[in-house]
This record gives sequence, structure tokens and C-alpha cells, in this order.
Amino acid sequence: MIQLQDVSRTYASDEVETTALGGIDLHVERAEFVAIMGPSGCGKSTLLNILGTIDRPSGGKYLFEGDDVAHAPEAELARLRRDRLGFVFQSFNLIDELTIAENVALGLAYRSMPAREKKERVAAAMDRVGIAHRQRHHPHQLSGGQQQRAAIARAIVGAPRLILADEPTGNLDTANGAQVMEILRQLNAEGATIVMVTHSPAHADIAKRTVHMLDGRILASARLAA
Amino acid sequence: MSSPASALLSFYRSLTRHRLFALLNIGGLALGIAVFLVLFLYVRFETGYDRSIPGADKLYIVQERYFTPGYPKEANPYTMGAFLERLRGDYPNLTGTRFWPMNAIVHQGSTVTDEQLAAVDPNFFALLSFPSIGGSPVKALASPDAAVITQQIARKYFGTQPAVGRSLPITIDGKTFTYRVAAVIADMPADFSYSSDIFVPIVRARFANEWFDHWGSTSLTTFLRFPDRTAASAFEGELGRFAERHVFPDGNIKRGMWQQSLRPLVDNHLYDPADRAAVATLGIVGALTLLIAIVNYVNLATARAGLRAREVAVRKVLGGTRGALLRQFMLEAVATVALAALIGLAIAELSLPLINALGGMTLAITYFGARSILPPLIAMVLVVGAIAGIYPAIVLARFRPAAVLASSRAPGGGRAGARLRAALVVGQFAIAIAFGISTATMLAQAAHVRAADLGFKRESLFILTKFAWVDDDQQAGVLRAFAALPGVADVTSAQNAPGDQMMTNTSNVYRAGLDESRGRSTMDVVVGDAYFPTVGGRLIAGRLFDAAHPADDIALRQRGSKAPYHVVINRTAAADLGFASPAAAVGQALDGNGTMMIVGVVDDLRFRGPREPISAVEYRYSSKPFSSPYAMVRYSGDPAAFRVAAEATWKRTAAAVPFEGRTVEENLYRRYYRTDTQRANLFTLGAVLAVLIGCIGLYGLAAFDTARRIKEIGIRKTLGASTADVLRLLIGQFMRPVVLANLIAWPVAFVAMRRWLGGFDDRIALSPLYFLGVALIAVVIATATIFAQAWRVARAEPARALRYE
Repeated sequence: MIQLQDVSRTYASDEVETTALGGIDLHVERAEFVAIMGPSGCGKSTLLNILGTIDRPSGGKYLFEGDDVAHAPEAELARLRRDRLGFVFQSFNLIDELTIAENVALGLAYRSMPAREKKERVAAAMDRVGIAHRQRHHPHQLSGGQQQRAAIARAIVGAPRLILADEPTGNLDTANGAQVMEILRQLNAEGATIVMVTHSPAHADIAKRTVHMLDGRILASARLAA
Repeated sequence: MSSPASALLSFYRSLTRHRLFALLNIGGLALGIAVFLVLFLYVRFETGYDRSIPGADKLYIVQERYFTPGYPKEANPYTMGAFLERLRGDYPNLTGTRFWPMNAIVHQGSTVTDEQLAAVDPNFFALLSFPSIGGSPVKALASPDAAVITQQIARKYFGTQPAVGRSLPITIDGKTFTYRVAAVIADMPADFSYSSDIFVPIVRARFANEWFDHWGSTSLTTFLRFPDRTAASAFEGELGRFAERHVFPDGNIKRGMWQQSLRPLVDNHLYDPADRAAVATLGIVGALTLLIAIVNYVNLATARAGLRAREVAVRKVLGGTRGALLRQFMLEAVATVALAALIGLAIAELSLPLINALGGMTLAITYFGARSILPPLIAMVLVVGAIAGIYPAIVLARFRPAAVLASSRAPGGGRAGARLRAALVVGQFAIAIAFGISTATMLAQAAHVRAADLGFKRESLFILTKFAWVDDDQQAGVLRAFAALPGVADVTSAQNAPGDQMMTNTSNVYRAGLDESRGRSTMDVVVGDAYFPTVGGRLIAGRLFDAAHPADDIALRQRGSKAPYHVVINRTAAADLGFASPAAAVGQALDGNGTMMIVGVVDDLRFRGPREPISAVEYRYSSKPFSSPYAMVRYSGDPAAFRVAAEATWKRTAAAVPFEGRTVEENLYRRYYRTDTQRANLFTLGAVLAVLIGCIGLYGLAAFDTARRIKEIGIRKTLGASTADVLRLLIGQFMRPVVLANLIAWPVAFVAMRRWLGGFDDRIALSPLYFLGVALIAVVIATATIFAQAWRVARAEPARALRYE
């Protein structure tokens, strides 16, 4: 599904050029659940952003379902994100001014489909993660776990083929973290491909494969026995 | 940390650190203040007329109102020449004076120059006091040959020599007298309604004409002096009783058709409600423009409040009280306004020459003396600073330190703050759009006035305005000389010209055989040869005057003849007198100004301004000179070249009279269009700058708001929003206030412009296109203002936006 060949990402500021990623090769199969681990600043989030096409690689090749997306025009990337990708962030990234239902609906906001169908899919997504009862609340009125579940609902409402999760449990306590991981595991079991950045070895264990990174490079890729 | 010095230091740093905001804030305020200052000067000039002259507040002008059908209902500030003398007969203790402008030519060797001269009663300078340069103006006019002149005249005719005691030969209305300069006064201020350059005493034997003792004639201005308004209004009753005793019994004016009242001299300049409304409107434009600038300050300051939350928190942690913080932020606002006021003052100073040239005005900023700009300017800085500063100061001082320091987010003033900002933007845009619609309407009306069909051909028609001063036996020669000029098609003389009429005779004219109560007030105009062909009037029924019909010519009438004389009437007269059609009027007899027979009907000639309704006119033809004529010449080719030829021809044939000639366009502008043009220009200037200032505010707000939403945009893009989606979102959000503003502005502008257009008799229809066009322009301007910001944010990489805090 995903193929990265020698992907690099450098940031140029006024004085120095820093390398966030250097020569990454990564292959992700359909319906895989991949965890990316590594110390802070090793390039995990940069890698995830490139996978999510919200950042562009400085060099290398990125094939998504066979299409080269490293050099695709912005409009095409927007379509890709809209139709095939779902994002879950450590800091939830819900919009404060909107209610939970409106935040979830944002996942469909840029697609054209009948309003009724949108409504049904939003309701189903909220049911799925168990936050339907809080749909009229605003994000700041919810606990962290609830906010993250709302963010997951937003990520899956469009039935994406790839879910990218950036430390989805990083801001949650153990119980809430476990709940979120259980949702992700189920989504994977139903066929969604998931790439997740995490600091938690326990949560990485839930994934089928763990990729270890250091200083912008992949050290090892270990496949767990199912 | 709450000393003013520290607060000012912090203010200075916040200016230098956030240059864009400082620029928008101070720039917008400075422009607003400049507009306000210029319009303030204009309003103060217009409302200050006559008030600065000692004694003016005690003088009251006797005005007369006529109640006859077809006659203007406005009061005229003129009376019969001898009115004051008659009144004194019954009220010997009454103090009053008269002002009578005269046609005057001053002789200096062989050169003749026309000067502004007024005949006044000798006590004129006792009642109105002007600074004396030489001699005593109060006593000067006791002798019939004495004159009081202004410094400018003294310099012109006597150079640096003392003028008092020198003699000055002056021709007044054709008769030459030698006056002796008895006093020199300072040049009269531009805002005095009754200014002149030469003053001579009214001497009945010299100046009284056939109308001097004729009730109902309006020759000169009579002032009465009263200690206060109560005494003046009490005397108005006496005027009514005086009329019962002397005016109505005379028989010329009927009871119920005429009334005298008193008008305070200091109210004279803006006595017409349309003038008052126009000046008030410009004052409001100035105030609203300033208000838009204040709104900018409030919007930008509260929007930026979040950026300074940390400063507030730290100051509070260090023991700063809310009061101290309030004071700091208020001081900042006043300092910002003061800085903006200085820049605004500079802008106003620099632009005044241009504005004065644009409108033919003499506005000036004075720093010292009674009219100093400084006290109102300082008051404005304090008031505007307080208005602009209070709300942001309250918002800022209210931040709770713990919450601010603990949070990684910058508070933006909350939902209420955002809503207030949105409401203020709506208000700004509503004002701007209403200004825009008004400007469009005014410009369209101005264009209409310049291009409208006036019933005659206004181009290539030249008026010799001093023709009346030419001796009767020379007039025909002057006309012949002009007719012989190359390119001249026609020449005529008449008692009226576009933009000029010295004498207006109206009588109650009615159809022969009907009761005179069915009559209409009709203006009587005597015209010479080829009048209608020269001005380009259109015949719509019957025929024009023709020398082949002796009965057309009043000069050929036998004295005492009872035969009706022939008249041509205008379309309005035909309608007013009740004829079914212009053609139906031809051949009909009229009465009321002698018996008349209508030989032709012409289309209305709009010789007066667009505000005045066209009155009914009856034209009479005379082949011999008549009183108060103008000469008009239909020429072809370049106006400047013709003027040169005209002046040479005049000097050759009428050397005794100074040359004065104008094209019809110049004459109409000078007399009727200038004031409206001036005001429309000022309005347009204010309106355009108000819109610009509103845009500055919108730009600042958009800059702030997009910055605040960068992260949200990142999230939306991550979820698949395209650049176009984001642009739509950001720009659409600012379109809502614009649309809402239209809803508010349209009815306001509609009512205001309908009233304004109502002041014109010749006016355009209030087209919906002005409304739609301005709304469209508002949308385009608003979009253009925020597009750059929105584009930058919409294009940004989402990953970068998500990292943004």
C-alpha cells in the first residue's frame, strides 16, 4: 500500500540545515498495523506527516497505492487526504469553536454526499467510539479520553484506507489509553491500515510490526508473531 | 512598574515590536483625525459666519415672505429701500441700518475698474465693528461724499501713501461722484455675509430709484438692532401692526399675501434648511470617519489583547493592581491618539491647499488666538483616547494571571470579544457602504447637472455681465460689434441670462376673463432681438417674436395704449395657467401685468440652479434698450480665444465700463453649482477615506484572525480541505459582516439620498444600481483586503500549521 524509497526531509532555517529524516525505506502492506518508536526528535512525527502528505519529502520517492505522491499537486493531495486518509493526533486537534458532532462532521465536510448520509455516518462514527452522548458539547467540556475518541471518530467517519495516529495515547491516562488502543485494534481487525507513532512499548505490542527509529533513520523493523 | 514613564516605555516598545499593528493603528487613526479636522474646519467656518464681528449678534435682518401661488415660499432677506425710514416714523427709538450693494466703477486716470461697493447708513460701522487702519469708520460716513475703504483698496489705489483724505472718483449706477476717503478698515473676513470693499452713505437723492418707495419691492437689506432674541421676536408683532397701518392700505400688497419677520444676522448664512442639512451632514461624515478609526483601534487592540496577556499576568503577579493596569492601557490609548493626532494634523495641513483649491475655499488651521485649533485638538485627543481605550483596557486588565500563565494558548478576548469585533466591523462597513451609495448618488446628480438638458444650448454661449452699465445709446453699437466678430452666429440682450438676473419682476398673471385669484405668480422678462435663437431655446407652439409684427415690440407701443401686447410664455406658465396644451395657449389673452396676448410657447429655460423649481415666465420683446440687461453671444470655436476677442471688442466699444464676461458654464458654476460641488467633493473625500480607514481595520483584523486560525486551518487541510475550501472559509467569514452591513446601510442611504435629491428640482432617479454597485464594490474591496492573508495561510503546509501555537 505504501512504499517509501530513500525518503529524506531537511529543514533549512536562516543559519543551519537540520536533517529530520535521512534515507528512509519503508513498506507498509494493506491492513497492516505498524508502530513507530524512538526517542524524541528522532523523526517519527516527520515521517508520519510525510506519510499523511501534510509535509513533503525533500528527496526520495513516496508511492501511495502505486501513485507517486511526493510530487503530486496540492489539490490532488487534498483529495487523497479527504478520501483515503484519517489522522489522530496526540493533542487531539479538535476545533474549540465547534461541537463534538460538528468536529466529527468536519471529516466529511469537504466531500460531496447527501446531507442525510453525512448525518448517518457521523452518528455511526460517534456510536462506534462511544461519545454519541456528548455530541452537543464543546471539546473543552470533555475529558482527554473523550476528546481523543471524538478525534478518532473524526478520523474514521470518512472510512479511510489508512489511519495515521501520532502518539494517540500520549496525553491520556492508562485506562483511557487502553480504551483508545482497543478501538484502533478493532479498526485494524476490520481491515484498516494503521501507522502509529508511540512511546509506549505496551501499545506498540498491539501493533503487528514495530519500526524503531533514531536520528532520522530506521534502525530495525520487527514483525511480531501474530 | 506603574509609573507613567514605565508605561510609556512599554508603549514605545509595543509600537516598535509590532510594527504592522502600530502602522495600521496609528495610520488609520491619523487619517481619521485628518478627515475629522478638515471637516471640523469646514463646519466651523460655515457655522461661524458673522459671529466673530462685534455687534453682529444684536442685529436682525428684516425678511419678507410672499404667499402667492407659483412664488417661492422662502423668506427673502430684502426690503423696500425706504422701509427703515418709514418704520422709524412710527418707532423713533428704533436703531437700524441698511446695506445696499451697488454697481460701481472706480476711475484711476483713464483706467476703470469695477469694485465691490455698498451704500450703507452712516451708523453701519457703529453697529458692526471692524478694526480701523486709519480714521474713524464710526464717524466717517456723516458726509454724503465720504467713503470707507478696506486696506486692500487703499493699497490698490494709493499704494503705501496714507489713503485718508484722498479722493476717489466712482461711478455708481451710471452717475459719477468724487468721494473722499474718510477711514480705512482692515479687509473684511471671508465669513462675513455683508462684506464689501468700499462703503458710501445711502443718500436718497443720489440712489433712490423708482422702486425705492414701492411696497413689495426687494432692493436692499434692512437690519434692526435689539438687545436679545426676546426683544426681537416681540417686535415681529409690531411689524405686523405696522403693515396693517401703512403697507396694506397702500394697495400694492394685499393682506394675507405678505409677511415680514426677523432673522438673526448670525443665523443668516445657513438660514436655508438645505444648507444647514448639508453642513450638518459633512460634520456627521467627519465624526463617523473618526468613529471608524476609533473602531479600528478597539478592534485591533482587543484582538491583540491575547498577545499581551502574559505581560498583564506578570505585572499582576508582581503586584500590579487592576486599577494600575487600567491606567496603563488608557494612557497607551491616549498616547496613541496623541501621536495619531500629530500625524493627522500634519496630513490636514499638507492637504488643505489642495482641498481649498478643489472647492474654492479658504480653510486654514490657526494655532494661536481665538480660533486656535489646539484646545479642540487636545479635547479630541482626550475624548477619542478615552473612547478608544476604555474597552480594550478593561479586557486586558481583566485577565487572570494563573489561567494565562498556565495556558499555552493566547486568550483572544473570548466569544463576547469576537462577537463585539464582528458587530463593530458590521458597523464600520455599514457606514462605509452608506457613504459609498451617497457618494455615487451625489456624483451621478452632479454629472446630471453638468449634462442635463437645460432647455437651451449651454456650450459656446458667452455672457457680457456688465452690459447694463453701458449707456443706452451705446448698447446697440456693442451688440453690432459682437455680431460682426468671426464665428459669432447670434447676439442678444435680455433681462436674464443663465446664472444671472439683476431684477426679477413677478406679477400675478391670470387668464383674461377669469378672477385674479386664479392667477399664478409669473416672472416678467424683457428680451431683445434674437433672444431665443441666440440661447438655443425650443419653440413648442405658436411663433417666436418677429419684427414683422409691430405688436410684438413693446418699444413701439403708444403710451396709454390699451391694446394687448404680445408675449411668449414658457411651458410651465402654459401649464400653470391651466391651458390643456401649449398649442391651446397660443392666441389666448392674459391679464395681471397689463393685457397680453400669447403668440408662442417655448420650452422651459433653466437659467437658475438645479435646486430651484422652474417658474412661470412671460417674455416681452423690446427693440429698444430696457432696464437691467445682459448681452449674450452665440460663438463657435475655442472659448479662451473668444474671450480674448470679446475683451478687445468690449474695450473698443464700451471703454467706460470694465469688461466682465463668462461662459454659461462658468456663470452657472459660480452662481449655482459651486456650493453643491464643494460639498459633494468634501463628502466624497471623507467617504473615500472612511472606506480606506475601514479597509485598514479589516486588514488588521484579518491579519490577526487568520494568524489565530492557522492551526485550525492545518486541521482542516489535514482532513482534506483544499486551498480553495480554505479560501472560501476565510473570505466567506468576512463576507457575512459585509452582507449584514448592506442590510443596515441600504435603508439609511435610501432615506438620506431621497431627502438630499428632494432638494433638487432637476434631479436624477435614485437607481437601485447605485446600491447594487456599491455592495459589489464593497465585496470586492473586502475580498481584496483579506485575500493576501487568506491565500498565504491557505497555501501553507498543514504540518507546519499544526505545530503553530
